[in-house]
Amino acid sequence: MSRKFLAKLIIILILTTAYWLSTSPSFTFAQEGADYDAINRVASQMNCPTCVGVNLADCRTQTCSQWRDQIGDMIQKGYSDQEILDFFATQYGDRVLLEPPKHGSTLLLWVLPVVAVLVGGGWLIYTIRRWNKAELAPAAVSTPVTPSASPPNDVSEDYLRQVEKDLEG
Amino acid sequence: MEQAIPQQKPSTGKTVFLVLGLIFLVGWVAVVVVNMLSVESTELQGRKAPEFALPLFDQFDQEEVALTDLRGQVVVINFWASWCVECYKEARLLEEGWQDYKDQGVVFIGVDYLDTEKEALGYMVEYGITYPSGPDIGTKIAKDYGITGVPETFFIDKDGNIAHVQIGPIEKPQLYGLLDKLLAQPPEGT
Repeated sequence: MSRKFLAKLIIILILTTAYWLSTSPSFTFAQEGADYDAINRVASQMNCPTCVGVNLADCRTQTCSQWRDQIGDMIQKGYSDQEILDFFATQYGDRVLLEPPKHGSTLLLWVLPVVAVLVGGGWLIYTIRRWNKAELAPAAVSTPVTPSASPPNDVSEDYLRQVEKDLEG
Repeated sequence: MEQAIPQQKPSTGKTVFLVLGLIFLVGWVAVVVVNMLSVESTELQGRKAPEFALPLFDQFDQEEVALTDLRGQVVVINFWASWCVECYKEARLLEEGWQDYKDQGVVFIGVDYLDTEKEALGYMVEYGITYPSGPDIGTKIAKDYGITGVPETFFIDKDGNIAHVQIGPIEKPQLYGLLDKLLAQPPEGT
């Protein structure tokens, strides 16, 4: 087999492959891929309705597959992402949304964690301050003994006189 | 004379902390109460059936069916979905039951749960469902009935009480036995 023949064969193979690629349904596939991106963009903002903690975009159940098809249909009809999300929330309840709406009873889901962190943090700061105060207390709170201070009952007069003498001396 | 001890004013930080603590406590109690109020379907047995008005799919002449309008009749409420494999097992039987009992004072209602309309209508055509069915908008009916999944079937007596809750597909002897028993019971006050 001559080199020229081999070169021609390679060129023919390349051209045939290029022609086949340009006429193959790769265009359709690319378009479907774009649709999938759009579907996933909306689906990623929703939960699987029949499982726990699974995103609609990642879920492989029949329910989720049907829902994604419906999202695709709605995108083709010209609905915006928000309109689709609103439709699903109305049709199936707010729980289908990954982010619960910030109103009504679901507002608690947003507020409570923040309040919990604030209360927890406040309590921690308060406790640490109290500990610090308790450690400093014996030095700071000690009252100097003055002659005018009334002596405790169980201390003898001799002892007190000695203490006063020592202080003066 | 006793000297009045000056009251120490609580600091602003302390007040904010207390208010936040109160908000958290109230919110937490609200969440617990809401969870405690939600009941599971089997707990409803013997209780009054929650009222509802179900919008029907376009193929039906009626726009909606309301439970309150069916008082005095035996009502079978079946929660189903086209994606539910277990629902296929009882679909034809429920239609058969509807055909056999619809003239005897029994009403079947299909509540389509978390389903897409296209697939739901396809399911109804495939299994020849002709009794009133419609989507559970906002899954409100499912919540009120505390269903734990699909299929679930509720048998309501003539007084509007839940006589039986069937979790999972039902068999013919049980379905017909329950309907015969409920039909034989006279409504209260007669």
